[in-house]
Amino acid sequence: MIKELIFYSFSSVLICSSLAVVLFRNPVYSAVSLILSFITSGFLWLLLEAEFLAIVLILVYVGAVMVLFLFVIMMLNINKETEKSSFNSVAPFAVFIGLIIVAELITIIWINSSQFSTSSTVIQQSSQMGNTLLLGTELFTNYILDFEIAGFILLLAIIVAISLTLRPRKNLKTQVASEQINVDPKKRMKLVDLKETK
Amino acid sequence: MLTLQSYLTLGAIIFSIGVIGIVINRKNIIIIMMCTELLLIAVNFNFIAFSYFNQDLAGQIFVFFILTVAAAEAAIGLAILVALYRNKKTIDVQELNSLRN
Amino acid sequence: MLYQLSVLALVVPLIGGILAGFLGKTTGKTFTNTVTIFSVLASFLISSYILYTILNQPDLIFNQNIYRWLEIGSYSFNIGLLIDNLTASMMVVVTFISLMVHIYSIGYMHDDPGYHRFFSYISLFTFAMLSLVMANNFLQLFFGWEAVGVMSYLLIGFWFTKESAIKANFKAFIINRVGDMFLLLGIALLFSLSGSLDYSTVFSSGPMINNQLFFITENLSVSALTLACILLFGGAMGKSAQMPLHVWLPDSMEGPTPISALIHAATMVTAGVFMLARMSPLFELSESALSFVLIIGSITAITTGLLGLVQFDIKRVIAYSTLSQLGYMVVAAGVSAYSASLFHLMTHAFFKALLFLAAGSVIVALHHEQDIRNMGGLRKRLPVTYTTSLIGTLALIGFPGFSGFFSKDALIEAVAHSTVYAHEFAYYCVLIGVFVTSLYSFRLLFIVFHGPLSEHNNNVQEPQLSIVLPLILLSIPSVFVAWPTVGPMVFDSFFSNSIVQPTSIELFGYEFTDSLHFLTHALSGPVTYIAISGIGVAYLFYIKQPEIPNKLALTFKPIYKLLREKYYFDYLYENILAKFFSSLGNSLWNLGDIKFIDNYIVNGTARKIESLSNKAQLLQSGYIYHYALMMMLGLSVFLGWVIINKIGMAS
Repeated sequence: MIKELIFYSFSSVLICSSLAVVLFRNPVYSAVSLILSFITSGFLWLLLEAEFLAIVLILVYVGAVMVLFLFVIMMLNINKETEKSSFNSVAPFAVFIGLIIVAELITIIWINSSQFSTSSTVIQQSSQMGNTLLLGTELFTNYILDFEIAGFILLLAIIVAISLTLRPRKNLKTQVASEQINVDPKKRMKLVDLKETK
Repeated sequence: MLTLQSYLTLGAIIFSIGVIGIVINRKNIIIIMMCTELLLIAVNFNFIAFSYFNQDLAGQIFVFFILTVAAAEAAIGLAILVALYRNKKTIDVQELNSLRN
Repeated sequence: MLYQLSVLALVVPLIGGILAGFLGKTTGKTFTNTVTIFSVLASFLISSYILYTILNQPDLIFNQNIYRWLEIGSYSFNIGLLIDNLTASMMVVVTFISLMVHIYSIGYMHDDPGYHRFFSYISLFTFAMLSLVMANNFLQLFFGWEAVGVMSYLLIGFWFTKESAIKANFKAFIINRVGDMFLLLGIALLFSLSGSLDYSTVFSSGPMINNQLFFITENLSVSALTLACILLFGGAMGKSAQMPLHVWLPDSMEGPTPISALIHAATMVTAGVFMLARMSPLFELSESALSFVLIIGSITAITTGLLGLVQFDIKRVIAYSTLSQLGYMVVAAGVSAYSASLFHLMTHAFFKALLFLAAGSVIVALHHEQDIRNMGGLRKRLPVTYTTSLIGTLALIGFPGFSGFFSKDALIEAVAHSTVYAHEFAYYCVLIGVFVTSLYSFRLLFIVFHGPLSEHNNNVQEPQLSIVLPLILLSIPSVFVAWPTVGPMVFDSFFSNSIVQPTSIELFGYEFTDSLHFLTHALSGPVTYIAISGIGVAYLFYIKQPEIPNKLALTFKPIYKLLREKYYFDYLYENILAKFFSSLGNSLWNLGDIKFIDNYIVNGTARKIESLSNKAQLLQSGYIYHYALMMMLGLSVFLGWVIINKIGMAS
């Protein structure tokens, strides 16, 4: 019973904060609402016994990604509210189609519900083995290559982000190591034959 | 009684909010990126719900990778955004229509 | 041996023409005229040798395919040679006249900038005519036919900076095209019925073709052979300038005078008559076709002769006389007297070439003056030209003893004894024609050479040797050629291996013994007296009382106007037919081509695509959220499809 209570309260908060992300005019408010969404979904994930991912979501997303978002918003100084309406001309149509999509998704879920195993059959997993340990074991055994690739992707993202935003300063005095190494001593000095003057 | 359907329905609602958010906003691209994060959260919800009700850890592994890639995506997207702002002096979606012509 | 020689005779003028055409400009005039004259001379000598060989071996027919040009299914198209008495005699005539014209041109064209071009053209003209004459199948005949047409086009428009010359060559080409269309249709009909283009095959299947009926409408049918013959004759009408298609010939006088001589005497216009003789096995089977030929020929003979009476251009008078004489030849073919027709062709070739070249001599002497009203009294200044012109004129009117006399008399005799439909009409036509011929011929002679010598013509001199020499050379056969040849060619069996015609008794009602006897026999007929009376009238009109013609012209003003306007043929063609067809073409062009094809199909497609893509472009707003909306739409449709699928599977 307590689970249902937690679920419904958190999910209503989640839905509201998600709507707030979309509806706020000020992007800073949107970002803060998104943080709230992440936190509530983290709680809901805890309910599904995905403790590690819930923690990671809050740490990585709220701690890093959302900070990055806020950082960019502040840096670009676009937090001023626009006077015009925040919705464009196709908004009513988009909302209408969005509602259709929700209806369709829910229909599909309920049509297929006969194939789902009911929650009562869920076997409680061993409390000895923590979720983090299980996940770690899986990741470093069966999914080791994927894990490496994920790491590589992150490295790539770092390089890309830097190279995209890097603006080399003009008139910067730098040393070019390769040119220094490849210096040819013969080109350093020019010997000029001077005729003897009488 | 919490069933799989409850979680999936929640995921569907969040997903739709994200989709609508992408389309209806006329402010700036940052909102679109946030909506993308919402979409990812919705998908992750589904994975974790299935993982829990089927007692299969693969779902959580997937979510782990999705989080990784999403973080990378957010970083690159924001970098692009900064570069865009530098060139166009705006990130307003109403003014970014150079795809045309 | 004969094979190699005849190929050589055919090809040598071609080589000469090509050499002169391509190398003439760089190597100079002497090279040009040497190479062409020697090539034509060689061709003439070979032709003479071939004729000599054939004369010594009667019944020798040389018919051989040189190579196979094309083979389609069971049909094969060959290039071949047919050398018989007809071909050999035509070859000699063609090459001899051509040789004379070549020599004459050295002087006549001396100062012309297109000197080498001219020599190249006339050599090629000779080649074209030879290939027409030597053909052994319809395909090659058609090639020669068209090649002659092309060369005549080039030569009539030789002075291409002169607008009238361009118009004249265009006219000649178009009118010939009408005739060629008929010829092509005739050949096609014969080919479809006999399955071959070879003369021998077609001729042997002639009776079979004659039995086939060709239905014009449900009830009206005509023998396929008659139709084919009339179509072939349609081609001859174009080339030999018979009545409705004669209008190009007088205008072809725009070309240089040697060309007039070549076209009128030896090459182009005789092609039609030659073809009639060559097709004699077919024409003999169809009396209706012969009657048609006869009527057209006699109308041409009389009406065009009358036109000669009112012309003031020295060359045009002779041109109309050519038309009239061609009418005579066609008449002879119409009464089945092909040998007489060919004989007249031959004699006519000599004296008409002579007359043209003499006219050209006068023109050169007077520095390109062609209007006979500005001439007169040239007899003393140009004795050689005068003498040769007189010989040519006498031969033309058929004065006893001259070559024209024999040929014309035999021809008229044949008409008199004919039984073909409309032969009486033809007989009176040719008799009046004789009178008219002598009238206009002597009118020309009297006006040009007699009468007072005008002031500005006082210093006129005889032109150079190369112009005078061909006149003398041509006047010899103009007088004498008929004496030894009339017997074998007309009355005997000289052409028996190439022409099908009734026996000479049947045809002429006269037993030939020798030429002198024929001469005295002919004097008993009316022809000679009519011709001499024509001279008398001409003498009266143009020497004794020169005011009479003007009075007559004033008295019979409508008739005079009709003649001056050439029976309004040009008017009819130009203002009615040409206008109708050009307006038809224009409207088809405007409606079909521009409006439908260009506007609707070609540009319409492009415009439609452009407008569609313009509409498609409207979808491309460039806004991200528009694209996202489309993705949403797609997603909803996809999900809807999944649901419908699911429900369908469940039920």
